[in-house]
Amino acid sequence: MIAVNKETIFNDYSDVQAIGYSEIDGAIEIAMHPVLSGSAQTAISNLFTVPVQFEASGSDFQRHAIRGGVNLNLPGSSQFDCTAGFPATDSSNNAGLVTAGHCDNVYDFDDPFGPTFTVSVPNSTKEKVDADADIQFMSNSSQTIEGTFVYDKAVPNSVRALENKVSVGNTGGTPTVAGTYVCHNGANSGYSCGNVYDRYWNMNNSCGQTGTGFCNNTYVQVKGSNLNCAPGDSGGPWYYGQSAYGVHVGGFNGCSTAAYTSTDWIASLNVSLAYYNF
Amino acid sequence: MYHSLIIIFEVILHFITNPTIKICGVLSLTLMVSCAVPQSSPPEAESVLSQADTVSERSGYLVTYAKQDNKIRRQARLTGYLTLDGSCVAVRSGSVTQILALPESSAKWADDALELITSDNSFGLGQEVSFGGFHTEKSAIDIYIPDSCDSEKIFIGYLE
Repeated sequence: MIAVNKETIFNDYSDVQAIGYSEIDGAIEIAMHPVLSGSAQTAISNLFTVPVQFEASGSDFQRHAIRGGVNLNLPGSSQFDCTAGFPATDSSNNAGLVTAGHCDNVYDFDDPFGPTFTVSVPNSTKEKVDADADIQFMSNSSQTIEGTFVYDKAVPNSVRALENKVSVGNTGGTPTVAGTYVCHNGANSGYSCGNVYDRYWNMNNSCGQTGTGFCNNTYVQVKGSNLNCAPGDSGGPWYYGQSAYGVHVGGFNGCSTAAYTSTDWIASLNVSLAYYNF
Repeated sequence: MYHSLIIIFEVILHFITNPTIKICGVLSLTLMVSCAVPQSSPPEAESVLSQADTVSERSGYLVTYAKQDNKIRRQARLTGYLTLDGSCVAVRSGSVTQILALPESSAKWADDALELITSDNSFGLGQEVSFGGFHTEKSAIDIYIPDSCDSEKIFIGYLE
């Protein structure tokens, strides 16, 4: 029900911050900021056959916290180097994020809602740069985490709740298929979208620590006439609506094609995505 | 021809009189790292500009693997000031100094002009530069990098 309607809702009501389903209340929960008009709330409610509850998210999505889609700067620099993908926690529930494995291991997290703070790769088990995947976990145990991500850096406060992840394979939930429409946000190029062209893509000479090694058919290829990507986008979120698909790896010149590492590989780091707690 | 002989003679003389020169790249492959005569301490980018005479003896070259335009380009980004780190060309960004490697066979360090020269551009010491590419462990790269380049990481870049 949410999947069917959320694109319409996000497109028509930019003040809707998130859509979720509360199993406790048995109701759709709409987080909004600022508060929607009565007629808008009625129109949205009419899209669903179950009760809809509206919640003023207010400043909740402007909290100083680790989230995805945020610029990662080298320590002491004001220039972005990579992009945070999605919020995540390790087995000890330390707050962190996932980004590309070929990014550096220590960054200033350039939080748009507060002062910068350091995130780092805690050890080598939290980094995977090989034929299968290009992903790493960076954490700061003293920070709070919010299950959200910046989905368009050009839009102020464009923070969206993270609800779930979508697998490439048939490992549960709705899998990615060829043609799936996905979007990304990068520190340099910002927001753009395309369609999954090959979900088991064989990249040539692009993997491993040297970037020239053999690749398995585990990366996802995206194409699109409006697709855009540029240096600094690495690690940024690939998503649709509130679902996480992967973290950005790179692209051909001009970004006629982009590649991402599927969120399927996050488990190999023994970390979990942090979803928004509706 | 006469001019070339003079240059060759000068290079030989330079090697004889500068035993600290190291050849730093070889390999079958190819990564290009810029090497220069190790100095006593890596200078800051801005200060190097006022100490041109002290670094004018720097020498070396860049070695790289063949450019592969057909492959996916990783899209990390390194933006900062071109500097020298021991015997390597590097980029200083914030508090981090990263050794720079360019997978472009024509790139070289011009010691006389204190410039990094690529196929399309030249960049002076202390100039702000920005490269796309990726960070990797220095130890993961099969290339000799002098100990005086003290960064644990290396950035393999291309021009944005």
